[in-house]
Amino acid sequence: MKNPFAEKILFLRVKNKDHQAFGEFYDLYIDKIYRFIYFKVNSVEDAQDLAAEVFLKLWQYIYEDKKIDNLNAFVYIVARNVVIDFYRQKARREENEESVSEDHINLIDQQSDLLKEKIKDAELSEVFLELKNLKDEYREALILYYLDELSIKEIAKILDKTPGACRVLIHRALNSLREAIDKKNQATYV
Amino acid sequence: MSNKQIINQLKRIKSIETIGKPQNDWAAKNREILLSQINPQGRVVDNDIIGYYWQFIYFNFKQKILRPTLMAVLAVSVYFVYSATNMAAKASLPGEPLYPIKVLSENLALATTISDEAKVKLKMDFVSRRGDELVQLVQKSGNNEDKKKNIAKTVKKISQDISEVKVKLEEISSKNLNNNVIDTAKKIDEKTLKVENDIVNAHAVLDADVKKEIAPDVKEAIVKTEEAGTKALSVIIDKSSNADKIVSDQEITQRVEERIKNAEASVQVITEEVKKLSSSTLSDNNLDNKVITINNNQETSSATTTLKEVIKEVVETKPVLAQDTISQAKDSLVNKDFNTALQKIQETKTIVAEVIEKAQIIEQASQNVNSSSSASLTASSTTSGTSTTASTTPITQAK
Repeated sequence: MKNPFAEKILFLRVKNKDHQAFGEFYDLYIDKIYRFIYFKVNSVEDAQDLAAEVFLKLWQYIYEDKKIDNLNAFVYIVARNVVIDFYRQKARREENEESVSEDHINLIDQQSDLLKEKIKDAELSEVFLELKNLKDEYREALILYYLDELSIKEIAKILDKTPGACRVLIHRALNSLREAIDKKNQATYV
Repeated sequence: MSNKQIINQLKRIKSIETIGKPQNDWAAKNREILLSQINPQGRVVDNDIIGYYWQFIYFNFKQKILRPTLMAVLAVSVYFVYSATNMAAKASLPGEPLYPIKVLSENLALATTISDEAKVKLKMDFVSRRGDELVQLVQKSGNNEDKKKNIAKTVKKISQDISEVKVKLEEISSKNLNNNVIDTAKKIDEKTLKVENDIVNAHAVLDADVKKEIAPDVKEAIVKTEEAGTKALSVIIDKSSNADKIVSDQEITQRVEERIKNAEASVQVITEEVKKLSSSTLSDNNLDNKVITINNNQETSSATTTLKEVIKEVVETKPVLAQDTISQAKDSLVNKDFNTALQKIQETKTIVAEVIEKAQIIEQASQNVNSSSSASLTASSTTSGTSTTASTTPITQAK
């Protein structure tokens, strides 16, 4: 939705517990939230489950009349927290299992093949792979700024940093990504 | 790959299914599940679009107009209250309710000034303010007791602050003699002249009882102000004797001339003052047979003489001596002997200060003699370690 006025009206309707408006809000944000989570968990299935959980949790917040200043930033904060919970539970599970099962390794391999098929452009593939390998903090900043096109102020709210610190973070993240790509290219030529 | 190319590629990720966006089927199915979970009964909320528009307008009005306006009004009000208080405080005099704010803001200004030269300049400005306050206090009508107390306090404050200025000037001029130090010395030279004038003029118009009480403090303030001024001028003279000659002889001559004029004015004021004293006391034949003992505690010595002789010294000898010393200062200036000229000016000021102090002791003593021939009186004063005591007794008793 490129019309900020319409977006504001939609937010008001959502805050007013309008189910239909929440459906519209879902349409507007599902891609962004799914992508945001996918790059954190690296699994399509997990990303789908967690994205669904984010919208359900968000509705609960709205339903309980909890104070939400900026819905746009708040949905990302919920997504972040959901991912953190996911990793906590995962760590607990892995403690109980002695080794990673063969099935799990096979699943990861299958996913990699699937992605290779989807990204045929070499440059795009390069950027995607290095983005995945980037420090979590850097990757998050790049996705929020370049892919989701959020403002610095909104990113600052999501990451709980000052706008100045966010600007620096994005700049460093982009440089770090470029260096990683250059390094890989040099290694390939050698 | 350049940053721009990377950014373009990053944006392209958005369009890749399962990576940049979820599969459409899943997204649609999940939407249905979500809506059925949050609205199992399929209720429809009344869509009061106009209400939302009003909410939006009100929200924006509150956020973008009302809140900033209130903040601006608050900021302007705070600024006005602050400015008004500050202005009122600036015009306040010792003993008034806003005076502590004035002192506080001065202390704050001093504490936030970093350079030593700037600090000394600022302190000198504040001493000059005390001079203004003294003149205004003298002209102010009101409770005599409070007025006396505040005048005494202000004169003491001048002595104290000017001493600090002098010490600081000595410190900074001993470290280096750059242009900033010279500027500071010039300011001190100018301001001390003004402060001395303020003290002498304020003292001249004081009521007799106030004069009597603050005479030693006035003496101390004049001497210390003159010392600071002389020190400032010697710093300037030192600079002029250096090879770079930043301060010209002409400028120094001008400054010393100003100081001589100021000393002359002070002598004029005390001459007028002692004339009044002489007309009332010298004609009094009762004083012929009275002795006065002047003790100088610092030197642990005392001099006994008749009250009339002391009066003559203060009324006739001292003013003439002051005039002579000024003439010597002028001669030294003609010969470009600035340091001797300064020394003579300082001597003149010391004489002026002594006359101011002794005149009050004499007046007090003569009043006492007139009121009771058998009474003995002790008038004492303390000035920076020097205590002068005058006591009178009928000559017959003394002998």
